[in-house]
Amino acid sequence: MSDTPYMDELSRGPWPSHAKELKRTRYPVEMYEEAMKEKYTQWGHGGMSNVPGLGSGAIARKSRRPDIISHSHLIRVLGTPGNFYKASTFRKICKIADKYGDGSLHVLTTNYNIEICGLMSNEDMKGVTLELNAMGFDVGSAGDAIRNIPDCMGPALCEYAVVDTPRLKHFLTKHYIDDIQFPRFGYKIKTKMSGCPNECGKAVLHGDVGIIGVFRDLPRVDNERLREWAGNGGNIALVCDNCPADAMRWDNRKLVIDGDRCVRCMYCINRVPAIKPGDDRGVAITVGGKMKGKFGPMKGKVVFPFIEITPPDYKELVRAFDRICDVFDEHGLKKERMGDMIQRIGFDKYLEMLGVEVSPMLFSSPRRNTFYHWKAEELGGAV
Amino acid sequence: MSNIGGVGVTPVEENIPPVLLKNYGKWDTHEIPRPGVIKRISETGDVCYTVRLAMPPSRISVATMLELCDLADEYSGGYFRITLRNSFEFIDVIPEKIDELIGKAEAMGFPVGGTKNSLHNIMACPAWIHCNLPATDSPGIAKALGDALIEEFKNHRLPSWLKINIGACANIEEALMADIGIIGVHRDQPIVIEEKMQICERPTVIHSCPTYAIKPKGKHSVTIVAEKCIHCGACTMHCEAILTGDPKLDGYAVAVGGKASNTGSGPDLGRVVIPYLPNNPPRWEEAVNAVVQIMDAWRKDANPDERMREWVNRIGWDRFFKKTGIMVSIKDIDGYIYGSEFARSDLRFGW
Repeated sequence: MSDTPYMDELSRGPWPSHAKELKRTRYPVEMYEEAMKEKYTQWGHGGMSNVPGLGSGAIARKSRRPDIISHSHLIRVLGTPGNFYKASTFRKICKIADKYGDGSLHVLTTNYNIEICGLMSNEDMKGVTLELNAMGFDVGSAGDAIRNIPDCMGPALCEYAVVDTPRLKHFLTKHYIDDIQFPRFGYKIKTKMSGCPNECGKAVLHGDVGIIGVFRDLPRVDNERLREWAGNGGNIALVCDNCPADAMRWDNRKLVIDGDRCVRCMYCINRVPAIKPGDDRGVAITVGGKMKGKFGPMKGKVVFPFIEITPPDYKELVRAFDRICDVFDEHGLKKERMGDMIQRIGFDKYLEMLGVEVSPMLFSSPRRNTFYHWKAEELGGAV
Repeated sequence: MSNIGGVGVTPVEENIPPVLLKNYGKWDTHEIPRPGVIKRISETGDVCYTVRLAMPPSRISVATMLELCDLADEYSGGYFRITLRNSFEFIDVIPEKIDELIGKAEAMGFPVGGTKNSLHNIMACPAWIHCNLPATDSPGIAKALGDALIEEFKNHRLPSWLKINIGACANIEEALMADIGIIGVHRDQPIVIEEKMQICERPTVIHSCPTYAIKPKGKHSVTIVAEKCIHCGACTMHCEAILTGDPKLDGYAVAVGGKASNTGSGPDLGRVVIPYLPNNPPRWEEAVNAVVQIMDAWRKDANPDERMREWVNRIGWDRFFKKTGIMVSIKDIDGYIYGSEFARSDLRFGW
């Protein structure tokens, strides 16, 4: 009879098995086996530890079963732009993980870092960090700091990309590295990027700050190519039917996109190779997407509908990002997510604090609540 | 101490293959010759084949990663990528060797697929492997689901793509963002260990509670008002002396209809349709049955190219419950802050 019947059962079957993987490492498998037997986790309280000399990047975890293992820490490694890796580079990360940790990795976490797991001491964590630094990698993404800034693969491999997210990630990580590695805020700031409104990076849904590539003019249509595509069995009628804004008219020769209806959702661009995103490109910024915290799950809210992207210093974007961080730093309570802060102080007051220009792009509908507080200075001294 | 950290990330050019660098921003279109294989075509006429594998949920061993690196060296010039759904993608595979690569990967136990109208890779948090707050085991559920739905992963048989995310507690962001999400739920009363309370910051703990259920008690301790608790785990996150979770009561909820893309009706979070199912390791039959039940109803009824949320929006949530056969209860109705938003005002019933 095996010592680990539950893990043996999870090792069977066609899907890649984490139980099989854990058995190939020095991870204490009794912890996982016991958890499944008891239907309860065997790990204890955790927290943000710090690498000596570095504010964030490590996570400490105690154990509830000191008879098996006393504790086990992990280090979060910031992912590369676009999450591309060279095998020779990744082998070095593997070697570091094997040397200091228990030989298990989490590739990738929900915030798209690589975790090196099973570290036992501060010296180990420092060793890992120094070795990673030597090969151009860095740690971070833990604690009340700006977290890892994940991006999609962008123009490196994707035909839809509106902005160059891998280069933007490289720039933002370098620019904000001090805030990434020193937790100075009330709570974490998760920043996510997507290169286009297809939103593979899920920036609106789970980014405290979401940066999403957008375009303002209409999608470009190459009619000649479209006719060829339709002639080869492309179903343009289905695409026109499925257009959420009903903005497409096709007369077997020419496709006309109605500028008053089009919402730039990317649907036709995804389906038809002859339609491409427009040329007036930039990013939109949303704030406040989250799950955790006082007011429950929230979607992000648009605060900057369009910002021009100007490499190499990305001036406008940096100014907007700084403003968002400053307001959060100033007004956020301890352990209060950005979405909760906005809910508490009111979205209109938040926009005033940010100093953004009010435009119809900032709301899906105007308010229906008729109660409103007028400020004394707005009343011309009548009160 | 000044020489630690502060490095940032590697430049874009360092980790991408030459063909990507040459065609940076010039990619024009793509084809999917077979499930799991994408052929990217550039304006310059260059092509780049990628092959996508499912990954084990949450943890992978260094030994396996090294084997995958060896495969990359042999078949794709040493380049690969981890996608935003955590699948492993070989970049720029030599076209003649694709079949050989797929054969080798599948022999290693990594199925190839997860493109277009199929089940995409299943995302899961570490849960019982390395966390103090989970109410369920996401990697276990992910593995059980993957085994049951493997044919959907390998074939393009669904109306649109299906994304399944699993989070083991109410804090994990992923679960409400997928077509089908599984979220761990606690149902017990948090326990306060009074003699340990001194090590916690009491003001932070008290104000972390969304429903104001935590009240000060004595000089250092707190008490929790049982009727007000919504089992979110916020107090446990901030204080070591408060414990959440009970093996007899923990379990998970099932949510449907999360979506990030701006196509169709736009981005939205999923909605909880099954409020509680019990933990049943190691094969989690209830979770697998619930997912199959929802997936089958969607597959039978959806139009081509219609994602789960678009389907629900077209037929309405009332017909969703009728078609899937999921039981409705008072627990489907939101009594928290969004309650009035989600109640019904229109009379467009789907009898």
